[in-house]
Amino acid sequence: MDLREQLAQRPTFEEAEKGYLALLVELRDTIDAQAPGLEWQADAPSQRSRSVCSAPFDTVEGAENANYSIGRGAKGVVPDERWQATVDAMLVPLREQGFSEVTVLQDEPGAHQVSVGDPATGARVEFGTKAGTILTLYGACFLPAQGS
Amino acid sequence: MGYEVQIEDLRSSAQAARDALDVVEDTKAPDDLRGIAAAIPGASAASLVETVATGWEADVRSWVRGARRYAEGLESAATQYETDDAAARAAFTPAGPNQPR
Amino acid sequence: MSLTWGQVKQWRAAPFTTAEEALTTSRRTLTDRADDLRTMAGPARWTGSAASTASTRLRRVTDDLEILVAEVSAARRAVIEAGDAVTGVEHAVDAAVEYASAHGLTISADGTVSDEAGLQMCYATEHDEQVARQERQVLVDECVARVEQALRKANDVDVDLVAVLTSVRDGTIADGSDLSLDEAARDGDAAGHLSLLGPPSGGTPADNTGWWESLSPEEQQRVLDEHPDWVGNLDGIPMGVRDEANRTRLEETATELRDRQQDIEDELAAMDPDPYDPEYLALLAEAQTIREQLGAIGTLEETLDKPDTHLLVFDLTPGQRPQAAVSIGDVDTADHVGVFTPGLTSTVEGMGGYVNDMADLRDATLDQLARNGDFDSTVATVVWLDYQAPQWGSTFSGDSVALSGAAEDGGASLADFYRGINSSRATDPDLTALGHSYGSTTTGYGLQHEGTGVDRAVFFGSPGLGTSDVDDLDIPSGSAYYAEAKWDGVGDLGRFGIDPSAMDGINHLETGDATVDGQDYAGVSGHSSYLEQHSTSQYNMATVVSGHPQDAVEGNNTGITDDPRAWDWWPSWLGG
Repeated sequence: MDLREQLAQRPTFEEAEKGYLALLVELRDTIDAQAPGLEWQADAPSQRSRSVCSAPFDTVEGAENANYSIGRGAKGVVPDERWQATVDAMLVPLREQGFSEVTVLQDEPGAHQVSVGDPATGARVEFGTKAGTILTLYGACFLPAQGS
Repeated sequence: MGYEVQIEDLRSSAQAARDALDVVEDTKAPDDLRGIAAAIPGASAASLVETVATGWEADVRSWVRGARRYAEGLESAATQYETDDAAARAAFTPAGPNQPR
Repeated sequence: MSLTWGQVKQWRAAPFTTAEEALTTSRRTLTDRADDLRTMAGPARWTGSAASTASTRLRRVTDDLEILVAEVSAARRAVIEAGDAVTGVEHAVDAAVEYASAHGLTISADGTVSDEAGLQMCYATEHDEQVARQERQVLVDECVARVEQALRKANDVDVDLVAVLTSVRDGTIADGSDLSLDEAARDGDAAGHLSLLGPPSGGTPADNTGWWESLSPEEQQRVLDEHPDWVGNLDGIPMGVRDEANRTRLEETATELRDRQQDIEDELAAMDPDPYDPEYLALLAEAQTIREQLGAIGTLEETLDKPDTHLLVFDLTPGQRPQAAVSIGDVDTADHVGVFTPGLTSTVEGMGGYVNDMADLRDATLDQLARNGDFDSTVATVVWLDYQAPQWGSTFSGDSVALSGAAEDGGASLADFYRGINSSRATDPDLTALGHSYGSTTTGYGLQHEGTGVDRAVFFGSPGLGTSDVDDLDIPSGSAYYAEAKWDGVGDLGRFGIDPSAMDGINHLETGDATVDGQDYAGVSGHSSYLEQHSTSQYNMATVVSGHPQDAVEGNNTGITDDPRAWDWWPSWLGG
């Protein structure tokens, strides 16, 4: 199956974007329930950047890739004692959406970050806290809907 | 007789020359240009500005003289034709039937 | 006689505006004499000696007035353009003075720049003091460049103005042969233009910045409209300007090449395919080159269609592979800038993936800033492919001397690119150099040049940094980072200096293997997967670019001794 056909099997860019944005809302609500008091920098998640795709899909004309976040994240931190419970709670909706691979990037008192990836597409969600809190979804490569 | 029109032409041409020379004589162009010299201290162009402005003043004087001489020539011709009909006849060739003016 | 700084500092554009307005009025008064000249002509059928004398006098008077009008027009045009150019001189002088005062430097009346402030603190190591001293020297050099370019511009204005005024003085602007005063005014106007000063030939990035700052906004626009090739790839010019110029150049070149491609196809279709016909072969070769160039253009067009992208280099010099640099984010204003240099087999046509990697790195860096409580700082990342990255089978002949030559040449260009980022901005960004594979060798050579303003460097998958001593890199101690994945053949080659894995004084970054759930999730393996999404490498790079390297995952994946022949990208002709 060539690369374009592989991408054609995926949802369209627009469908994927809708799903990603909904997932971010759900994750934010989960985080807020576990660690209240964060000041999110925007009311709703939105596209932060849009680009061509990485290899191997960089050669597929029109294929697109975008990242999403809620503003630049949230002011305030997830306290150490709530960190693991928050991550665990987030993993429920994440796994439902195929985000199953967890990488711990930092796990020290007062400083945490995990990356949760979707092995099928290469998308991942970054969640971290230190002096501020971030929740960013690095989307996978998709073809836009016909005519868009 | 019959050359009044031409003579009048000569006089109005002379007047036009005098009008023009009055205006040109008063031109401010040399001083206009001089205005930039102080704005570029040290520049070679600054001293050249004075040379050009002075040159223009000489050109203007010379032009005014030329225009005045021209006006005077027309005026003295007009005066002569007013008093000397034969000279006027010789000076103004009659218009042909198909010629304009 | 050459102008001095003390003189040029007093130059003012305002009197030119006054003179321009006055000369405009004066010229109109003179050209309005056209009616008088018509009336002055006298009766049409006036003949005889008096008439002929009058006619000669009138012709003389008319010609002389035309000449005067032409001269005033030429002078007026020169005054307009010189006034504009002097605005540029004033701007350049102000910029130099501001620059000096912002950095504790003084400029004396003869234009000498001295460092009054000097080094303000003690440094932990001799290397750090040397780096700091070089940074001061860069400030002095940049200030000197600004002074020199302001003077160069002033001299240029003077020379141009002298040329026009000399023509006026010598009476060579017009000869009285014009048909009317209006025509004389137009011809004089055309003779009064001043030249547009081009960039200094062989200038440093700071010289180029100084030149750009010595242009008035109108002159800058003229450069963009008439000479985008002057500035598109010129280090030291603001990146926003380069982007605008290069997009123009890209569009024009694309149109030209597509037209030419069509012509070649038509020509080839009309020919007998004869492999011995030199004309046929030349057309085939040209078609191949154009295909390659259009491939690069296609990638750039698609990339630049995305938001926040900028074309900082676009170079299709004949006889070499296309070169380009693309930024994501505004390099002119970003607080943090990361410049990534890709390595072996990189091409502009294939650079789209790197652009996305750098877009992701930019977002990841914003993440690290926000995670550290900074929600305001801005970030720009750059894919810099303004050198001839070796390609398997063609340029990579296995000759390491030839190879290091390309890295050394590329390193010199890269150093100028870094310097240009700094010199074109009022305040230097926090600048991180990133180099992958052969691009890390190029970066290593680049950082051996002084005064690049690079604050930190990340090397990954490196066959060597062109030196075996980390102190040869002109960056502060402890600010070099190295990441090598297991199974990285290029990284283990150690061709250009020792393997950075074994280098003293370099920080080691983890590239993977951070796991939970009992699985190996993020480890990247193999030479070309460092930048894949979901990698520890990218997190680490983001911590460094954001200026928070203490958050990086440290590690040192060395000691893997896989047989190189097992790597699928390893060319069979290399043996084994």
